[in-house]
Amino acid sequence: MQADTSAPVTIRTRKFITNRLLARRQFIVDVLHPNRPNVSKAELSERLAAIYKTDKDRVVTFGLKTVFGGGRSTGFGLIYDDEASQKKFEPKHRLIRSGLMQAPPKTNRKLRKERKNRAKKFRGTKKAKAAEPPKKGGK
Amino acid sequence: MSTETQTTAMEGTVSEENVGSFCDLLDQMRVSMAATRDIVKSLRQKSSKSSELDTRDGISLLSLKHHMMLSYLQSLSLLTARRAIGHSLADRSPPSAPFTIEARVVLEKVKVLEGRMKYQIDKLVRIAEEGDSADKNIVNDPLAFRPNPQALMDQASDEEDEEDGGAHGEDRDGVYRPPKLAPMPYTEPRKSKDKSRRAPVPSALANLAHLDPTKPYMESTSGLGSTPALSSARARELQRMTEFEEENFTRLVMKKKEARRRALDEADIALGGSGMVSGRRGRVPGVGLEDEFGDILKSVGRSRTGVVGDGYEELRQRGKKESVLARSRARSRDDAFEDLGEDGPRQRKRSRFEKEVKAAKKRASAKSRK
Repeated sequence: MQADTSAPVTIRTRKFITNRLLARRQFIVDVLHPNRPNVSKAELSERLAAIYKTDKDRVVTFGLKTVFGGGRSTGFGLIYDDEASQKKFEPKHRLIRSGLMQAPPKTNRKLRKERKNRAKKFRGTKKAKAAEPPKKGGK
Repeated sequence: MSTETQTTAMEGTVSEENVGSFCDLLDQMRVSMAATRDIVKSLRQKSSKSSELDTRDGISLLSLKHHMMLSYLQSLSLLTARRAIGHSLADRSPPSAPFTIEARVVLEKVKVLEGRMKYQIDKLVRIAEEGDSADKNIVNDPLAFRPNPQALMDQASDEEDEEDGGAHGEDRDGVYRPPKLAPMPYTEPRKSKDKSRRAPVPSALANLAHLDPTKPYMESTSGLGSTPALSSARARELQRMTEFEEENFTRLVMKKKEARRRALDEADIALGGSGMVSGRRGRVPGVGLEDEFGDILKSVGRSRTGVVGDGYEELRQRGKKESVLARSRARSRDDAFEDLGEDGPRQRKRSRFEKEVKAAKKRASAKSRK
């Protein structure tokens, strides 16, 4: 049975707090979605921006969990006043999720660990020299 | 005799009476001087012959006292004479103020020492006065016994305790407080950490509040209610977790196993179970019964607030009403459903004693404010 993705969804907010220190409004979001699976974060932030008349980029949602039996989900939501404060106060992983920040380039994890293990054998400035892979003759 | 010639030379200014009195005065002086000369001679003889004034072995306390007193008086008189003439006391002359002070201090110390030796001195003086009388009754003589410092100590400690206790009691409030000698029953202190938790309301009765379909109730598509049954410890723990998450705006960081266990227990609770599905392997079977009906079983025969205050308070409370079991037997149907609509813990009915205590406190605070 295909779930109806266009079924009406009710959004309620609880524990609404205006956090002046962090220049944002924070609340708990209760989403009632009978007959359909959980809404996505993007859709939820769109709807919240419509309700609170803000830019949808300023709305951040996270921690959505569906209660047992379906039909209801609980999560957290933040609405920042402006982009500058969002970039300042929001943790990096959420900024990356919302696209305001570029993820740092993924380094090769294996290489990093090998380099570290090579450096463990030495002490002081010799570590840097020893961290390079040993030059195999004729390679 | 030369003075007489001098006075006759000044006849014009001095009268006869004055001359006569002056002559008498001079005679007196001569006589006293002769007397002192004799005394000094005799003293000198004494010091050379007898050992009374011999100070090689030290000077006794009593003679020291007399000598110090004499020298003190002498220096004092000299000081006053000098002051009377007009010299200031700041001059550094031999019998000056420091010596007077020294003498006074020595005299004070001698007095203290004399007080310590008082018993012996009195005894000696008594013997000297009365002499060796044969029919001296030892029992009547208070100075006949050796002093017993042990007896003194006991007496002193007893007196001290009584006096101190009385003095302290009276000094503090002015109110007499009797000593606490009445036996008190021993009540163990509450070991449970959760001291604010009251006896849980029996769920069988409490569920009637929300299982009544005539009242509006919250519904969901799954048919599961939103009120969790807090019967087991696990259920309470899970509820505490969710409360924490909502309050602190975070999700708890848990391992996979922990998260799976939590989800399983929450599902069980939503379906009406006890939330102990994911317990240990070797769990005791049948423990769910206690969790399910624990609140009913435990609330029988126990007061709502548990152990209150000291033993007297508990006894007083016990004497008020019968236990739930006894009351439930003779209760009518109307009484049983009376307090269904109550939300939360009921306030303990204030006994007459408590009301009086409250009134007294109010009066006291009003008085202090005035």
